[in-house]
Amino acid sequence: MSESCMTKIYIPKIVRENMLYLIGLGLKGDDIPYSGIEAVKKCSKVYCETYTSILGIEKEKLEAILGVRINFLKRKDVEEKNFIIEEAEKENICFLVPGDPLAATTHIDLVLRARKRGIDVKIIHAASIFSAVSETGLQLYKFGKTASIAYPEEKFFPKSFYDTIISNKERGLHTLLLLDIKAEEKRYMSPDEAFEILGAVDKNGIIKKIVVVSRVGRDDQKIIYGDMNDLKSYKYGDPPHCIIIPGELHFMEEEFLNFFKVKK
Amino acid sequence: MGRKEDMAQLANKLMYNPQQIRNIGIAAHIDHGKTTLSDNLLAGAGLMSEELAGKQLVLDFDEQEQARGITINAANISLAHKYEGKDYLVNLIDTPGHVDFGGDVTRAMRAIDGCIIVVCAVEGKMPQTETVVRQALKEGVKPVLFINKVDRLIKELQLTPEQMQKRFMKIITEVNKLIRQAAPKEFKDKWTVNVNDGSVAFGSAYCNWAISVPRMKTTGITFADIIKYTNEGKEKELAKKAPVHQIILDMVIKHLPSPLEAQKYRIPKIWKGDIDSEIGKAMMNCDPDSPLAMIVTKIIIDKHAGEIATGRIFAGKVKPGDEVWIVGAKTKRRIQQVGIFMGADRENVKEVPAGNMVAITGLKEAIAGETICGGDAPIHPFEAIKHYSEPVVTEAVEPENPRDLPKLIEVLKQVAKEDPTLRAKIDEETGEYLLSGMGELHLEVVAYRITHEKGVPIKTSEPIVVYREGVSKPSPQVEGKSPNKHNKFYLTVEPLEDKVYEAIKSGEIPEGRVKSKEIGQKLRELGMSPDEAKNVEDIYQGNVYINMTRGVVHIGEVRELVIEAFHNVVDKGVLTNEPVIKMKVKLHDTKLHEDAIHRGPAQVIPAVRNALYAAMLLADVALYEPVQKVFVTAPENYMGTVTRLLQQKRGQILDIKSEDELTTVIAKTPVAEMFGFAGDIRSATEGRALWTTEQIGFEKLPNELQKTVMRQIRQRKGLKPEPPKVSDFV
Repeated sequence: MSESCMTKIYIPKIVRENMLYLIGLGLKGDDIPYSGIEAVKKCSKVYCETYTSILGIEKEKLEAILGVRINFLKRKDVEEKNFIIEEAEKENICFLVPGDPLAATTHIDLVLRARKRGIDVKIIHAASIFSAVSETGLQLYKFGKTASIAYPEEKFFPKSFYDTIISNKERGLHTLLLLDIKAEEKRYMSPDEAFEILGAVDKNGIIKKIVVVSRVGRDDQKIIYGDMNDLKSYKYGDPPHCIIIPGELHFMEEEFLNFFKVKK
Repeated sequence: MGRKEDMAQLANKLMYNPQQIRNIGIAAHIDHGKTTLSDNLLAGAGLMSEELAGKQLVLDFDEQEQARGITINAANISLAHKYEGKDYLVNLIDTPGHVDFGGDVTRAMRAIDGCIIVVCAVEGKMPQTETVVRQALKEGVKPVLFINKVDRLIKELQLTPEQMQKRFMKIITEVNKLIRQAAPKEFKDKWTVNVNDGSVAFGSAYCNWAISVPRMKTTGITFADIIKYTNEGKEKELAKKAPVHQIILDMVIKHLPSPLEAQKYRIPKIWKGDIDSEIGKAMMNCDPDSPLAMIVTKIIIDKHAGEIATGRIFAGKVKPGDEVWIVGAKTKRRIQQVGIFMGADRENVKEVPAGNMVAITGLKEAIAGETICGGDAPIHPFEAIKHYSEPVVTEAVEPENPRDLPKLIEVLKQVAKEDPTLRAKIDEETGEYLLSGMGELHLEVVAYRITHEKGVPIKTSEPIVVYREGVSKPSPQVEGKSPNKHNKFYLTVEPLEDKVYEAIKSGEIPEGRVKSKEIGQKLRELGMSPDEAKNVEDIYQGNVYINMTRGVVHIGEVRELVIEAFHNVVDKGVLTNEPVIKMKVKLHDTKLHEDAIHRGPAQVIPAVRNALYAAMLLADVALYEPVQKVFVTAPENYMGTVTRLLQQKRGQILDIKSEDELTTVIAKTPVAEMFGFAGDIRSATEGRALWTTEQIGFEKLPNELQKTVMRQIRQRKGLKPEPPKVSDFV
């Protein structure tokens, strides 16, 4: 084939100066990956949300580490307004999320809105509770569906988390239960509050052993394992907490969990 | 005075003997002589002088009632009466006849077992007679008939004995027709009134005499005698031979049931708990030795004693110091004082047993319609006391002295508690205190009472009509998204079937969460499709919510929230924030986020509300205005003037009837046009016209007025003049 019959198509390279970065801050709040730090430097504006989890460090400290001014946002600013997307149409914008950005499922909507407008999105992952629970010795392969325990409100008392526990249990799987965070009201569900709800829903007393994971990834993290009744008197300290209802235990899992046994 | 104390003692003894008790009311059209009759009964019992009976209107003890010559509040009284050698205790509730006070009548019916229907011999059965009698029959209250103002037939119309009898027969036939229509099935024929057995009496309460056919036989008084006595001005002699109180109370005792008899068939109608339970059996048997079960029918605020709850005891006893459940409020309270009524006075007693009416202090949370019981746990509540009409007129009130504002707030709470047809609320946008009632007169009376009885002088604004919003056609499916975008709801709205709406309004279908299958069955009979009827989950203010979704996993967790949003929308329509009526809301499908935290109230309620608002706009939402039937009776030569006046008020003439040189025009007129009608009709007919009104519900405001009125309401409420658009919600 001669060269002359080949049509050369030049595709002009579009240099986009705009990109939306979703960057994870990891479990502590300053566990941001190196590539995340690099991305922040390219951005003209840095946003951060603190309503899907709790930032483990002071806001000022985070600003100091990254060397930028950060705009902290409320849920409404992200979910009901569109300025992040509008700005990302013109410039590089980054959006910091405690934990792993898309482990907070609500942020899928932000990504979707950006993609619909043709904005490139880059996700920079970091550690999240979903992998950190492996510190308990429970194997990630053996976790079933995750559920949340919500604060009951007037006319709203979701109990479907219990169905999740039961169906996981039937298949021998562990259940990770995330506890409600109402950041704007400064209410973070404690293990005791969760036990109370569990007790009200689990009328037949099917749930016996529980693992409580507090402030995982931080210096003062705590993992406690035992019978629900023995766990009630324990002082867990500051949030965030989550609890695990173990399914059938592999001998290694059992051996490992025994390290965390609550003292009676 | 001595007799009053004797009476109290006798009452104290008789109340333990349910066979010798009658709980009765008097039901009539306005001005047909209820209160005059009550006064006669009081006089007969020695509680007022016979001279004054018929003139003093003691039961109208509200200063204002006496001034206006109409009865406003239902008053209670206990009387003793001897019949065939035995003493009886008659507990009487006098009820107002004016349409603006219909709520009182409805509630009073719950407390009584029998009623005297009073019909004016000259005017015959009137619309309000019909309404009141229907209410009585619906509550299982047995009627007898008193044809009043016979003296006017003689003096003014100069009827012959034959013409008089013919007129009586006509009234009796009409009343019996009504009884057959509205009485409970098993009593349709048993409860019709009959001249020959004495369940009909006629006479003149004003002239203190009455007679019945059996009594004519025993006394030898004939129609000709009556005419003679009346024409010769010797009514007093007639009254000696056949005193009205005796004839009427004899009729009451012979033909109306004792509580022992009545509770057997009334309890299953007014209480839907388990009849075979202990408390059920106790109520059926009017047992004074069981735990207490009673219903509050009225709250009176007394200057000295505070809130007094009056009501009817169906089982057990009411004693000071006893702790009782206030079922609806879910609290326990200790009874302070216990009393019975003697006219305007309350006599404290040491206890009151089943089968009687009672007045109690100490039940702070009780409201009219509340169930009170003893025992360890609250019992099933009595059926809600359903009042047919709803408030249609609103006024803004403010204290003349701004310093009285905190006091006014307290007083507004009180008057709304005393009279549940009244609504008092604060307009959140304007900060105004709004009082809504059944009509201009109703609010005028309340304003008078606030100023004079409660001692807070107030100013009121011009009355404002309460409008409604309703949809005109089915909407397309509208998608509502939650603020976090993770949940979607697919909804439609459409007009509710006429028959279903009527059945809800009449109380045939109860409002609230739908729990029984019977309701679905009933809805189907009324013309709703089976698919919809079986999925109706909530009925609210004449609107219906249907859950048509299938197989949505977490629907149970959001059901209450969807219904909450439905209530929000019904309370505040999209067009003007006025309440919505006659709308059918259907949820077709929903897509929910997997995690409960992402589908809480803050997500679900706005999603559903916005979808419903958009759907209403797409379903041609329009304003509906309250409409009244107006009955004007005037001499024939004023007919043209009356008809013209009604037409000027956007009235539609429905019927014109003539009788004895008097003509009655029946028209349908918007409430908005009826403000100041009293003055207009007076000047148009030189005061010769009698008129009454009856509420008939809401009708679509004419197209040419829609826009203007909508803007007026929005402006008044401080909203933008233009209503929202679909794009504001989706």
